[in-house]
Amino acid sequence: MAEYLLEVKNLKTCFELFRGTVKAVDGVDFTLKEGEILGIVGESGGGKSVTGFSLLGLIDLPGRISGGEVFFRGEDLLKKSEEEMRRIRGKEISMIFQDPMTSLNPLQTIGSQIDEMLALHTDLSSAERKQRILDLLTEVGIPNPADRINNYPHQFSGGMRQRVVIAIALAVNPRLIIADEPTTALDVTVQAQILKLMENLVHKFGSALILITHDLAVVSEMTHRVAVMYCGKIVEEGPTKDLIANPHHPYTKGLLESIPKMAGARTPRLPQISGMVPSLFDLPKGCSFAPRCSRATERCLQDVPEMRLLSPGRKAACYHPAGMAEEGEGHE
Amino acid sequence: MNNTGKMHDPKNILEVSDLVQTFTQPYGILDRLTGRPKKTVHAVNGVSFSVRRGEVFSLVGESGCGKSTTARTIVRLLEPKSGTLLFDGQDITKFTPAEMMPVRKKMQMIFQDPYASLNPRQRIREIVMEPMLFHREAADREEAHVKMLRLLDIVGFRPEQADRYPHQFSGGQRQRIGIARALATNPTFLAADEPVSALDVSIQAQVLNLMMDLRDEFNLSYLFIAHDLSVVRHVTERLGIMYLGFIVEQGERDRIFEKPLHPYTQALLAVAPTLDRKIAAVPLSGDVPSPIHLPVGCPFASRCPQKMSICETNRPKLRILDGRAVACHLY
Amino acid sequence: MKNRLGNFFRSELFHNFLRNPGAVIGLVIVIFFLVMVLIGPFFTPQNPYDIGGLDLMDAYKPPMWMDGGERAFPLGTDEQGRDLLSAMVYGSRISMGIGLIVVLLSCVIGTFLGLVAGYFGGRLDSLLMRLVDVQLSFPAMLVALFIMAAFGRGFGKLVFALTIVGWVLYARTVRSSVLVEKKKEYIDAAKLIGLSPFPVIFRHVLPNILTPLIVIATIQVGTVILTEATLSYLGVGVPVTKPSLGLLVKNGYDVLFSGLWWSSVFPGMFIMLLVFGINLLGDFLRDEFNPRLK
Repeated sequence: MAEYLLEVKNLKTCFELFRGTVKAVDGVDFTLKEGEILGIVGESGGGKSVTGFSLLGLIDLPGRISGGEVFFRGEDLLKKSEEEMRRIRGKEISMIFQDPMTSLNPLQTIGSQIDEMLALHTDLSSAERKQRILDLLTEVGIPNPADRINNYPHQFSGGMRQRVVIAIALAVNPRLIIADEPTTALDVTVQAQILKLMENLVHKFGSALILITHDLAVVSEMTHRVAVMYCGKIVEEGPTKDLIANPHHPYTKGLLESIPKMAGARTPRLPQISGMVPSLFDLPKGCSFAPRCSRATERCLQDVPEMRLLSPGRKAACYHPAGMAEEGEGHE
Repeated sequence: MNNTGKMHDPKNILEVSDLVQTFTQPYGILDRLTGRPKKTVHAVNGVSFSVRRGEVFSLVGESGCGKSTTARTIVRLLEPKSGTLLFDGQDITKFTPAEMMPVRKKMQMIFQDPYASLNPRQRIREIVMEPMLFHREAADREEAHVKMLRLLDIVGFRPEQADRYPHQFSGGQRQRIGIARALATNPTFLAADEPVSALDVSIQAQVLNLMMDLRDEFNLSYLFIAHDLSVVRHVTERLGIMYLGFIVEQGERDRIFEKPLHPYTQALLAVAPTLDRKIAAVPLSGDVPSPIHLPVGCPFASRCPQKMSICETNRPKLRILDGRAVACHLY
Repeated sequence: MKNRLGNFFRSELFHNFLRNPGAVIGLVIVIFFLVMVLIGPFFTPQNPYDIGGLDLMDAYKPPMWMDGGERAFPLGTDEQGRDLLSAMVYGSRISMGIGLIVVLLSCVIGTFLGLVAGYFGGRLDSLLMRLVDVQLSFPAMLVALFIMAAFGRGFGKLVFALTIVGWVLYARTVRSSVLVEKKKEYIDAAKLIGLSPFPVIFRHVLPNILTPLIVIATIQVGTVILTEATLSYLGVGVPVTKPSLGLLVKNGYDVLFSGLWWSSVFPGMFIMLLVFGINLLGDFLRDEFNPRLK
């Protein structure tokens, strides 16, 4: 038995477009233990969604996975054939997408969509499957599952549809669930319900979860660990609580500060990160964040910082990390 | 001018009273033949509030609560079904397009989707100059050009960027171009419909800061439409919380954020994701009822954790309580 | 201008064009025909419309590489001694002229009606679209045949008939594009400036629906040429004195079984080649401009 459920090493995914090659994911490393919830956060263009799709080998041309290894239960997924991956998707690893309307087939009842998953990946008889579907729908909080089983997706509200999607994702008890912005399309009151539901079910089913989102508040709500991505690289990683309380990478710090607070005194102006995310076609030479960074020095413009251990369990890719114990700015 | 009988308060730039907006779903020959009943969506159901000069007033709520429809009706993109709109002391509710012309100059809008709100075939300079030239805010193209460059400078662009097309800019930049366009005619009032909800967090802060700087510089008043309470708390002075086309609570920011009275406001505040605390329990279950068949009683009754029997039968009216207005039978 | 041209050659469109053999072949064919009809008449051995220049002694000459063929008539002659190659160059001119004029007219009319119907909606929209539905429920050829039979041969009448048949396609496509565009916020922004409907339609909506129009118009040039050829073949198209490619096929067909195969086969191949070229180009444009295929 491998130490980790998932171990991603130096994953690289690029897109070859007319204007040039885009390194959407550029050397990403992370690990995930059984039952652990990892958040991958970042802004648009950070590469967090592409990372999620790459793990499942769901990259279409003009994109391709150009390097790295993805060990899932000790086996490298990137070496598997499409046929083998199809068996793993759904059964071992399942995915929840942002828009429940497009991830459900509008012409099929929700019962038969869950049944499809069960028939494909289990040996249950038709009657057993029926029972399992009812159990699953109850589990995700759909009232009167026996009546709703024959309904079509459009007969459900957005929140209810996302519950159905979660039921499908959990149907065959996968070891890992990758959720890509699962609550972004939902209203806050529904978002809270879905997050709670996912947290409880992941715990109950013992699955691990990778939660991909742009919303640090959502991450702080339910993840154990978090990885922050910027321009295709992980720039900081660590236990969620610790990282949010004391961010080391200036980008993480800037992101956290720019979120308006719900309590405490209001500042007349929000602290903001100046400038904007550079074009992936035209990344700066050194650290991608250097042109926007208030702590950047000559060195940051020249060399690309590697991820390094800054304090127990805390890694960041920065020459001048913030929030260090002695607060020695030049400390390296 | 003012036929509502109410006194106009000169401190207010905008006064909205009993605004109603409905949409009728398409009703074709087939529907007529099959006798399907006409479906009317009750989007806004008698909303009243005012925006003071130089103030930010926010309307907050979840999707489908009618907040955007309210804004679009106020700027007269939609014809109000009933109610009155008093802008700068003028009753503009029934203004013809010709009568609206001088008003248009003074009330502009900032849109939600930076990718859809700029004409992809217009250069940035054309986008910003078009309103100026149309309203003769500039004597000629030359003067308009100078003004356009000044506006672009204010929102953070270099002169040479004026010749580019929208697709050459990022979402945050496009939003700033949209703001420059809105400012082109020297407006006094801006309706901002979810201006930052499509933007990344770090860009969101930039745009919010810009909007607040502009308020001071141009003496603007904002109607700010949003679903994100933390953003609203940061920018607004007063706010109204909408549910199913009704305002359920309305008042000063600090009073509402510190002590929300309506159960819906309480729920919204409890579930708003923040960094500093974990959501203890989810107080609401279920979904918003259909705006086609409005409930007879309180619009929130079907999801309210403190529902009483009167809530099913009687619709509560807004009452002044503890320095704000709240529509709830609990009080 | 120079800069724009430079930009075009560096653009993704041009890059993809070069990598698409079909599109390149299509463009070469279309350019070949354009050059031919523009400058061809200066080089053709004969002016086929000049009856005085014809000599019955030259009738029924086969192509020059066959026995009895002459260099003066590279592709042979017809029963009146008319040089086939010259007739084909002049015929292409008529076919392409009709194709372009009809596409231009029906595109302008259809686009205008589609814009108005889509933007304003309501009764006007229902009325126009029912008209479109009714017309589309008859085969286009039948409608054109009917009109031509009622009014008789002639260029003007032919252009009229084909335009009547053609505008519906543009109207329908434009209308559905307008329905998508008018929901976008930049249209709201234009209304908020205070612009009245027609400036909004022409300054803001129209420029944003041009791409599908260009694609359809390109493919339609080929379709119109074919329809014209069919009508002329059936004897209700262009006047006999100025034959289009379709009429040439028809004239040749009448003597086909007397062994004069060339006078119908060559014009037929010309039509095929021209329409093939236009369609290759149109398909490329359609793939390029269709965001769903990207």
